Order: sequence, then C-alpha cells, then structure tokens
Amino acid sequence: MSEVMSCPHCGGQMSVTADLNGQVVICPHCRKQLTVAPPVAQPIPARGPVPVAAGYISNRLVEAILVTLFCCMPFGIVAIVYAAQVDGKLASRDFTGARYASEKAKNWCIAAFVCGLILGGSIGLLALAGARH
Amino acid sequence: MATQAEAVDAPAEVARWTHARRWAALELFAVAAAAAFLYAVNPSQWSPWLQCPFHAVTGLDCPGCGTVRALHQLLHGHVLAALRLNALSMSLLPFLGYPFLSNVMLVARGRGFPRVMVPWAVGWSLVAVVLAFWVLRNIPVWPLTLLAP
Repeated sequence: MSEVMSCPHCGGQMSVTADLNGQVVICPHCRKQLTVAPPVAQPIPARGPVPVAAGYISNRLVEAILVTLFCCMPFGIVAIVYAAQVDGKLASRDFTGARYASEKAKNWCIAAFVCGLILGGSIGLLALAGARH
Repeated sequence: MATQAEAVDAPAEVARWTHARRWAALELFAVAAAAAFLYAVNPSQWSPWLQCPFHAVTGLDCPGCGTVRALHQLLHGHVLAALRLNALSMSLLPFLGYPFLSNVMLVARGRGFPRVMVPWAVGWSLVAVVLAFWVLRNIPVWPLTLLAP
C-alpha cells in the first residue's frame, strides 16, 4: 500500500500511502512542504548491485564553514566550494550532481579535520618538547 | 524502510528518537562542552597545544586565526574584543544559529526547522568573502590590521 517517493527539494526518500495522492505533506528530512505526486514507475534492476537509495542530501555548508574556521587548512575552502553548489543543483533538480557535490564536500571536511588535527597536534607537541629543554 | 511523510498539521512526535535526533543531541552536547571549556580557559594563556599549522609555518594568518580566542571573549560578553580578533567568524556566527536552533528543536520537540536552501550566489559569495578576508587581514596597513588578531 505504501509507495516510496523522493522529496523534490532535498532528494530524501519517504513512504506515502495511496490516500495521500495530491495532498500536501511535510518531508521528514528537510521539513519543506510538497505535493504527493501519483507514483511513477521506477525501473528496478533485475540483478546486479542495487543503486544507492536516494537519501537526504545535506549541503554540508555548516560543516565546511566550521572546518575552515577551526582547522586552518586550505582544504576547508575546497569543502565550502563544493558545499556551495549543492543547493543550487537541488533547485535545478540535478540530484546526481547535488549528491556528488555533497559527498565531495563531506570528504574535504574530513580531510581538513584530520590534517588540521595531525599538523596542529604535531606542532603543538614539538612546541611542548622544545619548551622542556 | 523510508521515513514516513507527515501531514502538514501533524503534531511533532516527542517520543521517537531517530538517528538524526540522536546525532543532533550529540552535537548539542559537544557545543555545550566546548562552550563551557572555552568559558573557563583563556586560549591566549594556554596556547602551544593545538596551533594553526598555516600560521606556524608561514607566520601569516589564516581565515580562522583568532576564532577560538574570539569565542572566549564572546562568552565573557566582550563583543568588540571578539570582533577585533576575528571579524569573519563572529559575523558568520548568527547564520550558524539557524541550524543550531533547528537541532535544539529537533532534540526538544522531535521536529527541527524547515531547511533553508542556500542560493548558489550566496554560496559563492561566501567563498569570495573567506578568500578576501584571508588576503586582506595579512596586509600590514591600517585599517586592514584591524582584521588580524
């Protein structure tokens, strides 16, 4: 009885029952209103790897900004560059491009965090060791 | 199984602790712990343990330099001192307030705020502002020296 549909705003999946057709509901992921469209037949691969389920696409902008301000690496700016593209692509319904930008932003955030931690920590340890003498 | 769509007038469910809600609670705890720590400790007096690599290697300021000290000043109510240390992060702080409050609501009520889609012009302006700030604060000419901690 339940169909799975994707939110036209954020790409997140949600289950809707048939009686909700044409009604306005709230996406459980991005909390924006949308109209439930009649189900469109989705091609299901008979065998082989299951395609990555459409999930909520976060723009990672908050993480990118925080990482740039705290981890002091140029990687953070790269993360912001990718994060800045996500919502624009979502607006033009380019879900694949949005997911790609979101993934890249996430990975650059992680890279910036790890590098900042390692480099900053090493410098700190060196400073402490130097101060001992 | 995909998450159930909600009717427009459905009341927020307080009971259900979804994955997102648990993460939000963890984030809030981390922010509270960091705020308590920064309130108690003055980072200027306890510096060598975690330094900015860019500043240590080049002697120049990265766009984030001074943020931790600025937060300490802000927690003690010294807004001007905070702005003097890092005007960029302090200006971005109110914008980060919306997702933060959304997380607070998510933990408290089970439902956060609607997501605000950031237009691409705003996103690219942010990149430009960060890069401009990075360059300008390293120019040793007044009044640009006010941008450097």
